[in-house]
Amino acid sequence: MKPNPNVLFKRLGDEMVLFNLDTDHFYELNAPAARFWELLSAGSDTAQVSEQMLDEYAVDRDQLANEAGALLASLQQEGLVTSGE
Amino acid sequence: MIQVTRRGTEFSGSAEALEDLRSQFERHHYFQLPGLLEAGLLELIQRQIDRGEFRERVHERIDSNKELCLTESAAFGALLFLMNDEKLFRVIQDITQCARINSFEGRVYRLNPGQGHHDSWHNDIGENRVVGMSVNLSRAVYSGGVLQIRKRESGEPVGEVVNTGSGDAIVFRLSRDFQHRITEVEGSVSKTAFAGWFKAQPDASSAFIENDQKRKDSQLPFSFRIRPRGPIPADHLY
Repeated sequence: MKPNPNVLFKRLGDEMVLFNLDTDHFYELNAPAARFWELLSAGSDTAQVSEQMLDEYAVDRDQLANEAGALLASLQQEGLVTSGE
Repeated sequence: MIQVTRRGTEFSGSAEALEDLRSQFERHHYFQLPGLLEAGLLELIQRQIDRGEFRERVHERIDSNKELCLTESAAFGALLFLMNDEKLFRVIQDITQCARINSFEGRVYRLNPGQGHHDSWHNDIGENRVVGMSVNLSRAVYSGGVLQIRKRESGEPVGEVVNTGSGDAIVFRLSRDFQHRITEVEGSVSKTAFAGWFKAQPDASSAFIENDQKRKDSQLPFSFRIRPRGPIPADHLY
């Protein structure tokens, strides 16, 4: 997965705000999801993002995997990420 | 030196470059920001504008004027999203020494040659506006469409600037002592620009983040949350 190039984003404090030029809609990400997006947009793949987040947050691997799966499904549904090659 | 990108505003200028802009603004009441909009981003926005619809608009509070105004386009939302940026606010505030900037309000307009499109002398003062900015979104170089600035009392010209580079911006002073206008476009190429004002109020962050939800989120254990918010709430910025 990688960010859709037509999505603009910016940090506002701990949160991240995304704007999808394809749909004219915007989204708020809470602090952990903002960090996930930040790492993904910096070029990390989802496995690398998860490893980095395990280092940074007090969360176990299973919970992170479940949360990440749900987040990626939402991001994909909203056209905010695309399947990367 | 200052560039608006998909990731937000990036600033790479030296203290000397900032001082030069401060000095230019002090002396000439405007300065230019070449390449303010990153080229790839500009292309994305121009494509959205191409799909949009323009309607003729006359501003009621100034003398003779007429323009085409973009309606219902993701380009408008994107530009509001991009220009309502904390880092951009602080850089502009630092250069112009204006009151604290908390939001940007603007519109995408087009001036076609031969259709009487122009703005006559006015000052844009009011509604918490502190500094003006116009970003050129035109694909080709146009003629005319010049920003002219004069002293209000004497009518003495103090500045005239063309801004024909795609993605370039002009930042100009708003004051009761000065007026500005935009001349008609000549030749065969239209001028398209995103123009508006940095404002002291309202606070743009309130348009993008709902503080009540932030409080609730901060009380939750670790979880990812994404909140769809719909189109940019432009009315929060006016």
